[in-house]
Amino acid sequence: MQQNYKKKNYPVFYLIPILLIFTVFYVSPAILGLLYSLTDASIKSSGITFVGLENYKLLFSDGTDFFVSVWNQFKFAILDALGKTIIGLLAALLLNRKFRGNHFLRALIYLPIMFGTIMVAIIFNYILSYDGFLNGFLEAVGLHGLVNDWLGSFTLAMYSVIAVDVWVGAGWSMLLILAALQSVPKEVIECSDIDGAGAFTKFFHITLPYIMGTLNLSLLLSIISGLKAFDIIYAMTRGGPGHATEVMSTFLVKSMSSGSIGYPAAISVIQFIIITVVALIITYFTNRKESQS
Amino acid sequence: MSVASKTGKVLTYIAALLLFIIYLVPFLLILLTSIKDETESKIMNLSLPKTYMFENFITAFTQGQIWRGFLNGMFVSTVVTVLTVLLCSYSAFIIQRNRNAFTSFTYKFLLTGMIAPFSFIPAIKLLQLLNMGNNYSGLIMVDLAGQIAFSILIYYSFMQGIPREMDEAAVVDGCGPLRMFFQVIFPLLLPVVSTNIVLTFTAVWNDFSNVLFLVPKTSMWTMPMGVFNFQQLYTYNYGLVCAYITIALIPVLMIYLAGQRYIISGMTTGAVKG
Repeated sequence: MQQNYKKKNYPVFYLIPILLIFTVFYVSPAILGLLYSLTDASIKSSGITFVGLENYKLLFSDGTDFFVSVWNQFKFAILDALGKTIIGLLAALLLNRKFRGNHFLRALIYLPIMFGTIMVAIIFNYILSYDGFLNGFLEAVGLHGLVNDWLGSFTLAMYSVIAVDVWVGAGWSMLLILAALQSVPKEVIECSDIDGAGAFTKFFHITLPYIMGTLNLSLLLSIISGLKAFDIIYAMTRGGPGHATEVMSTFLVKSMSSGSIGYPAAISVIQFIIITVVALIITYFTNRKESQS
Repeated sequence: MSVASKTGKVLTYIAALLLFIIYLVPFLLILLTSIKDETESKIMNLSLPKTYMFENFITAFTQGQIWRGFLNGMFVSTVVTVLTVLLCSYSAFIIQRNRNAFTSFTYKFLLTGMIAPFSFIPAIKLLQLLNMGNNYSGLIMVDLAGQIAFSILIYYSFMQGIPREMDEAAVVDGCGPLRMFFQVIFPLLLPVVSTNIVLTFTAVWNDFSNVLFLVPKTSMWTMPMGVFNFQQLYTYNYGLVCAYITIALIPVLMIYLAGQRYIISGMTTGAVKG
């Protein structure tokens, strides 16, 4: 009876469209990539031959460029996640206080996320270019020593792009942490006031333990998105100067210029494996943390 | 008021002012530059323009094919949003109400989209094979597929709060499964549907990589991509480019002001439950 009722009113065959769309347009490119990576497919010719692991051999023997891009991707992801979470925490602690303009500031900090990465990247290209706003400002206030080619320098470009991405995404961490801060019970804070706890004691012994789970969540989810980061880097530096801001996807785009499909497909397979494995490990730990608390 | 709390207040305002400046200056800079002429706009600073060049906005409209980008973006974003809302709300309903091995598998399978990255390069080839590479159908289907995981997640968690008695009453009244959902359940989903609409629409509107890789013709590009293209053509007339940027930011700003609370609730659900 129960089974029939369910079958009749919640027919599972209505799930066929979503399964079909997801399989064809999200899953199958990954599988197709795996197949192409074993061939010499190219845009120029329609012929295709099986070449085994040749593309992978080429990728791993092609000098260190690919490894540099993997290393840069992790560097980007970790520093980006730390930056977003720390700035987000500081902003959330501030916005958890009452002051005039609080709601406006909150909306303003979240705004860059809405505007999207390309627009932000174009705006910051103007700010950070050598004759751009930031250097002009530094000159004007007499800090000549700090003038730099922020996006053109091999040592600074990566940190500049990370800083811009932190500027964009800190609002996300802020909202998440703010929600956690507001769930700290008022009674506990009041008790500690009566006991005469100072601001630092209150933060480290009461607030921090309450929001620790959220801080971890913000950090780990930002690492996952950082491992997939491409838009902001491509729109700001295209991976340059040299390979200074090269990440997996910018490396992939460059490899497409030869017209080959097999070789870029091999890169995208390795990229897929790296991101999925790290993300699965991270998700495993966040789920376990949540079930403990 | 004690001295300590007074200092606290002053520090709060100083910190708030600092954040305010850091987040406002980039936008202010673009706005001010957008009304400067070519020579003056070269020196990027926050001074008021000596000569006001409101013509920049007119030039951007006439030369930048801004309308085309706007209409392209509106079309793609609207179609993807409507399809996402209908497909995902109904599918999440079936999955949540009828738990069995198959629906549990479907749920887990669809949520892998939150973790696994999208493979662009083979997707280009796939759309060519399906003959979807030269029109919007390919972009729309890929965008839709990319929205599935997050949308299913927010609908699923919201539906847990809707009592099954609602369904039963509708069944007793003789509703078929589709009518039961769209007449009885769907109206109750309004908050989460609003979240889904705002987030999907802006995600598709702002999308960079799908358009870059899957839409070969620049005449078919959406608005932010149009700015990206325009910026490369008029690199040296900063005033003109900034006018274009300002125009392109307005639609999103309007959506943000209208749907702010839905954005915040959706983003919190997505992060905590994901």
